[in-house]
Amino acid sequence: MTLTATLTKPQPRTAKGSPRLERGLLLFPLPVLLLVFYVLPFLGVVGWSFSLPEPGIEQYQRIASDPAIHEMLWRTMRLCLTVSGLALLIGYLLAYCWVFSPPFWQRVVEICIFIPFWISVLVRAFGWLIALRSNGVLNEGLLGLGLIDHPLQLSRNEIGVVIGMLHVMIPYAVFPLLSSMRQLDQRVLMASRGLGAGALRTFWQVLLPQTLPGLLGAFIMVFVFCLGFFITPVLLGGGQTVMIAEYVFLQMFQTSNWGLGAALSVVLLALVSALIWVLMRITRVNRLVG
Amino acid sequence: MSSSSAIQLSAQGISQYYGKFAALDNVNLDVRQGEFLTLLGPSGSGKTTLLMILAGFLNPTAGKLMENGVDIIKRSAEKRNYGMVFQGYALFPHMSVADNVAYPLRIRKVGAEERQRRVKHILEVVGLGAHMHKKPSELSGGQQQRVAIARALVFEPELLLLDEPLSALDKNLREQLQTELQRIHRQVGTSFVFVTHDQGEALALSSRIAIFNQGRLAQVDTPETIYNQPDSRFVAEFLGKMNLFPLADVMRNGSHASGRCADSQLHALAPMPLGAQPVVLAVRPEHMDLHRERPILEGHNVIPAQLTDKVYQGASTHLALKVGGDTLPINLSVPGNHPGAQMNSGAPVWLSWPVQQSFLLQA
Repeated sequence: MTLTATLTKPQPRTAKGSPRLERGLLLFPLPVLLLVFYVLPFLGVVGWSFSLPEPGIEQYQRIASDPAIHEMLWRTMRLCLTVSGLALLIGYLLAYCWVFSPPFWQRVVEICIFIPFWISVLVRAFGWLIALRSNGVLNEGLLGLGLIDHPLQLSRNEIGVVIGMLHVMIPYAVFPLLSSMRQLDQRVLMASRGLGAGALRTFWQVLLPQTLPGLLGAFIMVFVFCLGFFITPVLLGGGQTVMIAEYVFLQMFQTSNWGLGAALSVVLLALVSALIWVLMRITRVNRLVG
Repeated sequence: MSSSSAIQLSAQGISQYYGKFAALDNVNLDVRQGEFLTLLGPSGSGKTTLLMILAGFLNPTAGKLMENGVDIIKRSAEKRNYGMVFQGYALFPHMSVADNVAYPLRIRKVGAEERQRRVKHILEVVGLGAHMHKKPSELSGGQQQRVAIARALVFEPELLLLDEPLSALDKNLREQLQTELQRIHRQVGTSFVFVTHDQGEALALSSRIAIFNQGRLAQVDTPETIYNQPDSRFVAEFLGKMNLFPLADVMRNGSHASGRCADSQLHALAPMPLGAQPVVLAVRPEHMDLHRERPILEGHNVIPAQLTDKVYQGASTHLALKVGGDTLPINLSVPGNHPGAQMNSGAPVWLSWPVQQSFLLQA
């Protein structure tokens, strides 16, 4: 993932006096790798977007005017924002438990986050499909218990996609939050209580402001990953909830409209870059203030 | 502070167990109105645990905390109205100095005008009037600690609890802040409960010192009494320096007792009856004197010793000696111009000190 490179904080220089040349030699494979395997091919994609099927800006005009594309873009945004919001909420609670619980519960949270994290996205999408489909485990169970009389529509729609994506994204929300909570001096929370603040006030005025950079970091991670989701919406959406990645895939490999697929890829990259730029500005300001 | 002051808070039978380990074992301790009470002890002695219990951050295994006749042990920290200064300051990094100090006032819904007035006043008391709008990260360690003290005092708490507030500061700053703390204590009149492992700090600041050892309260008294009349060997050795001579064949004679140590007969005050256990004779190094020849002195103990080591310390020289030919180590300091400071290791010397300054402790 190229984005992680931009997201990681600059490391403090441990070896201050180390020669510039040595550092340059050690670092240079990275930009070369990015240039050869990412920037150059992507320039090719940009080239297609202006040249296929014939030279011009026709594909971009279509993106700007086609209501079907607008609906798809809007759906992508809506799903990504929903998943990001829920992932941040759940991730915040999990990170809090991970940092502040007694050791036993810390281990429990750790295991609950890591084990799914190690299982392939594809396997998890199929797992959710089995659990959520009309004759799946969940619906059969609820029917058997007599709690519902006809199966709930939990897959082949946005609900299924949100559940599936959320499951994948939660760890990505937890990790940045975890590091910002670990950096927090826990005595600050005690100090707040000692000065007379209740739990809610301590959360709003002490914990939340100090973990805001972590929240923003988590949001960038989750939202950007969501934009590129492919397998999960394909399987759990069942063709009903096509997001941008699937749309690009369909344009390129099913309708053979490589120009439109390429143009959409360019738009996606531009959006992601703009978003990261804006949020990085906010976090930097926030760090200065905080 | 006079010992007749009213009792403000009374810890009764406080015990804190972690499994079978007793961090605190049946501690009884009163905090008197307006006093500067220091909880002193080595690390792991339970002093910080007791402070956390007083603050309400820790619920002890057993015991009561009586305030005005009410047991407040179950009352949560935010409802106790005590100020607390943490080791490492625990300031809110995202708020300015003024906002940090105003925080407890906002919680108590103090009006904006009154709030500003009190924040300004307390910051002037701690000498930070000019730094109100800075962020804590822009201040030095000592200044941050003053902000923490101001924040803990601004709402006029009934009690100020301080957890090793000076331990993170360098020596000069620490001494400066000690003086500051004393002045602030006089100025605001609130009772202070102060935790430290630094005996110098405890002696300099406290109206009373409570000494902790392995979860138990060893002795509580004024610094002078604890220093001059420690009632256990632990307290004697922990607070200040103490030379100890094991005594054999102890005999009691009125208010005095005597015993044998390495072929010398030593005498000491013994106002209290002696137990059956072995006893040691204790004397502070500053009461001891060093001679080349055997001195003839009335009312003094005299014992031969041998110089083993000396450490030059500028104004004084620290001498290490041994008594009785083998193991018993004795330490004392002499002025730089004392003949003892010029002697070589291995030199035979005589030690003397007044019987009045000798007392007996359980070994």
